[in-house]
Amino acid sequence: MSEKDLKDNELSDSVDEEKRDFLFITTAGLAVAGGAVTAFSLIDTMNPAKDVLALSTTEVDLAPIEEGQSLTVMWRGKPIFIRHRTSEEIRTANNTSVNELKHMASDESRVKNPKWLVVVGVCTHLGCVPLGQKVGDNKGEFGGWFCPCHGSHYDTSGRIRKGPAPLNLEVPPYDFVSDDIIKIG
Amino acid sequence: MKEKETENKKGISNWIDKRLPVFTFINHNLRDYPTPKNLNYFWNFGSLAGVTLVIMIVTGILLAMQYTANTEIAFDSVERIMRDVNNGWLLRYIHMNGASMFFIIVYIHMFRGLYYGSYKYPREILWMLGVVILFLMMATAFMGYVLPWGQMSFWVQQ
Repeated sequence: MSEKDLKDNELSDSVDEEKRDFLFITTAGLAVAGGAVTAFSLIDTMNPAKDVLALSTTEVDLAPIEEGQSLTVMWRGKPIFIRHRTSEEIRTANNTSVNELKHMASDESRVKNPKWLVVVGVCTHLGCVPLGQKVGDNKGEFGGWFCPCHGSHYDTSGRIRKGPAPLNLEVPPYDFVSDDIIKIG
Repeated sequence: MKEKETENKKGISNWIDKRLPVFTFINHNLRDYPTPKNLNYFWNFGSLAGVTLVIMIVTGILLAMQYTANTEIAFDSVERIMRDVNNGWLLRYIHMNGASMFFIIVYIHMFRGLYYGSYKYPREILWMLGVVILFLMMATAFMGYVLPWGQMSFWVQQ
C-alpha cells in the first residue's frame, strides 16, 4: 500500500453523519414509495375487472312482482334483492326508532318508492347471500332476511338488527325509468 | 451475572429472542450479514434468486385468483387476465418473464459456485440441496408453462 492509501484509510474512520442521514432517508423514502405503488397495483387486480364493470347497468321490469313477492337479479355479478313490500312491512320499517339501530339509517333514506326495496344481497359480515327471497325461506326475527352463515338478521328495510354483520345491506345506485321499470347502476 | 443482565432486557421481542432467537437470526442474515471482503458482484445472485422467488410467489398467488383450472376454459381465463383484469397483463408478464429471469439468475449463481469452488468441502451438502432445488424449479416451471393450455402448452407436454 502506498502512503496515500494509508492516509485515505485513516480519514475514512470519520463518518459524515449528515450524508449518512441523507442517504438513509432518501433510500427509505424511495423504498416506501415504490412499495406503495406496487401494493396498490397488485391489490387493484382484485377489484372488479373490466368485463364485470361492462355489465354495469341492468333494467328490471317490476310489473310481474306481486305485493309481498321478491325477485333476485344479477348486477355486476352480485345478486340484487328486490322486494315488493306489503304495507305492513313498510309500517314496521318506518316505526323502528333509528337510534336503536346498529347502523343508523331511516327507511326513507334507503328507498326511492317505499313499496320497492332494492338492496345488494350480500351479507356485510363475510359476504354470504342471505335467505329470505324464496317462499318458505327463513326471514329472520325481523321479517327481512336471515344469513345462514353466522346468523345475521336483517329487517324489512335491509338493515342489520341482530348478529355479527356490521352494516346494513347496501343500496345500489338505481333509478325509476318509469313507474314499473328500474335501472340499476 | 451476565445472564441476569440479558434476562433483564425489557420487551416482548427480547423475551422471545432469548428463547427462540428468530430476531437475531433475521438480523444476522438480512442486516449484519458478515461476509469476506473479497466477494465480488457474482455473490449478489443468491439473494437476487431469493427476491425473484418472492416476486414469483406473490404474482403467482394473484394470478391463481383469476385463473380457471379447466382444459375447456383455461385459455379463455388467461385471455381475460390479459384484457379485462386490472393490471392483469402486468401481473402475467412479470410472472412469465420472472420465470425466465429466475433461471438466468440461478444459472449465473451456479456458474459462480463452479468457478469459485463453492461446492467443495465443507459445502458439499449445500451444493447437493441446490441441485435438488434446480430440479424442483424445472418441474415447477414446466407446470406453469402448461397452465394456459394453448398450442405451445399443449404440444410441449406431448
